[in-house]
Amino acid sequence: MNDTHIGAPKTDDEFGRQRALDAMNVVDTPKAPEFERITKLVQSIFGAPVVAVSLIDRRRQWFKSIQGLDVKETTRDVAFCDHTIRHSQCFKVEDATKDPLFANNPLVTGEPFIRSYLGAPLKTEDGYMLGALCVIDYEPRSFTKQQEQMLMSFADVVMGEMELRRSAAIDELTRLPNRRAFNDCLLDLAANPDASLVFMDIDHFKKINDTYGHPAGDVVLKQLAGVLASICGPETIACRIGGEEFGIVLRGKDAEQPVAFAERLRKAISEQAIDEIEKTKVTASFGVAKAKADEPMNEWQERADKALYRSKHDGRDRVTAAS
Amino acid sequence: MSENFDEYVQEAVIKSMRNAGISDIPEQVMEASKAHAVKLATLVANLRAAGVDEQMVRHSISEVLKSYEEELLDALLALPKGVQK
Repeated sequence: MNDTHIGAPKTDDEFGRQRALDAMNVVDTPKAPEFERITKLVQSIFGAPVVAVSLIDRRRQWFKSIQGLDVKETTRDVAFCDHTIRHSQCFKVEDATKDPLFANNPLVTGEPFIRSYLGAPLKTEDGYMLGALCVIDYEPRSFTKQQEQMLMSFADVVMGEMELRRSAAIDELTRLPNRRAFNDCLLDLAANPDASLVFMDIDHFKKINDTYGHPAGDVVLKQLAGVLASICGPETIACRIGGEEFGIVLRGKDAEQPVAFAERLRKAISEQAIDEIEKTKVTASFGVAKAKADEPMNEWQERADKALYRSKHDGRDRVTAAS
Repeated sequence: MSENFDEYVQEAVIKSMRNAGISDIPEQVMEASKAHAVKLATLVANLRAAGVDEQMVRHSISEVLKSYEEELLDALLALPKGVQK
């Protein structure tokens, strides 16, 4: 095997990696000119027939941008980039036909007959490798250390742009996903009967702001966001969707008993003691709606919203399930 | 072409903000932009170290900045309007 694998492998948390990729909300999005620019530029600099931004999803690699091949995705088991994400530096294959790892790969023995590969991992700030920026050639090829560094730099630029997009979907104060992320999540899950939606609204929040000031109100929001994050299971997404409003999309175990989930949350919130508001009791009201098969997203939201309104109307600090 | 990458990125930010009709840039976007300037400087150093000629280096800066500007505009246009204190 004459390829060189640089750097220590750093991927023993596939669950976290996949979660980081999901949070990026980029897979299956349309082609974007900004990434096309970069892959075309890299193609020109390397003089390579194929350059791609490849993201490694559960069972496939999906191309956010690809030059030189008319393909949207491949299965994960044949993806060279699936090897790149196991490294924190470049991964290269100088002649795939002589590399035991790839000699029998159908992308080497058949179309498009890949012979050489250089991939730079797309690494998040948290250290997860979501995919790779890769250069592919149909001839054997060697890559210098300087070329590897150059590709790593381009990969950093690509990742920076993806992080930028994600940062616009994060609420600055609470660090929870914001309404944009919430809407994306609802779009994905509408009409999925295994999902549930919870709207939560902090009771008398205006009074808290008026009495103790906005900085104290901010502390309340941050502390309750922490409570939310601690109670939500790994598949549940809690978002700040307005001033004192939160939207929680339940999946997995949490979604099986959404009312029980909301009750746990309600109780945990009412037990918070927050110094900045002199330990004044904070409560919240909840509306819960399980998704129905074939139900449009707006009707699902409307049912949860009406249930929340009912909780407010009936005295607050309570959970109401939608019909 | 000078090599003040902070300045280049700030120009891209201002242009995108104007196009998005936004006057106050969110803090996290500003932080990301500063980080991007550092990445751009590193990229240029690595392009030169790899022997890429100056014309291509300049073209690369230009393309990467355009790419960033497009991404930033998308990000700014997608900012939620409902999250207010």
